Amino acid sequence: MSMPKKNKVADKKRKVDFTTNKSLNKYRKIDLFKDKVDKTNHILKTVGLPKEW
Amino acid sequence: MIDDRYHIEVDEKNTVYEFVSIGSKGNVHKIVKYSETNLKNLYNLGFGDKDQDTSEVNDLVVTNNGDSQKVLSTVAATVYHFTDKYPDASIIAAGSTKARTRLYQMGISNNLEAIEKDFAVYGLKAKRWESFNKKASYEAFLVKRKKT
Repeated sequence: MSMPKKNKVADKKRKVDFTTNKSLNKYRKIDLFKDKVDKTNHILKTVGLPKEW
Repeated sequence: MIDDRYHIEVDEKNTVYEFVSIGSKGNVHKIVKYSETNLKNLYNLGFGDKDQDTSEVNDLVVTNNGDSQKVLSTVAATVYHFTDKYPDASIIAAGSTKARTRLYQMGISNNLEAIEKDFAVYGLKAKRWESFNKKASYEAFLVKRKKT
């Protein structure tokens, strides 16, 4: 089934500005924003997610 | 919101993004990283400035480069791209400062109708998640791509 034309245009527009850069791979192994991740984990532990999630 | 944005580079797993903010203070490299949390398919959105000399990333620096809307639009574009690649992912975002959280809030509020076409959006207020309300003030935001 083909994608509706409007969606194709939006999809193309969304993807056109992205370029793969292998040098960014190193950031996956670094604990960037660790305090934020800790805070998020704290929220998940104490508040959880919305019931309807 | 999504149209006026910077060119974005992405790592091979589509979890780390970089773009260059161009404004009154010069060129500032920005990093967006989607980090796994303790909950499966729940990611934290981290966002900060990259030092070009050390490659270190700081999420507390205030750049004031005069392009906050374009920066916000670019971050929003990474949310679309990330959830294109990981459609089951939910994302939690909270600003590193109250000012940045307010900026996120304004960005969502000003584009809520468009965002809600593609995402379920919740805000954290008084230790409770609620469906995003433009008039409320939130500590964090939670989004999930709607199934098409």
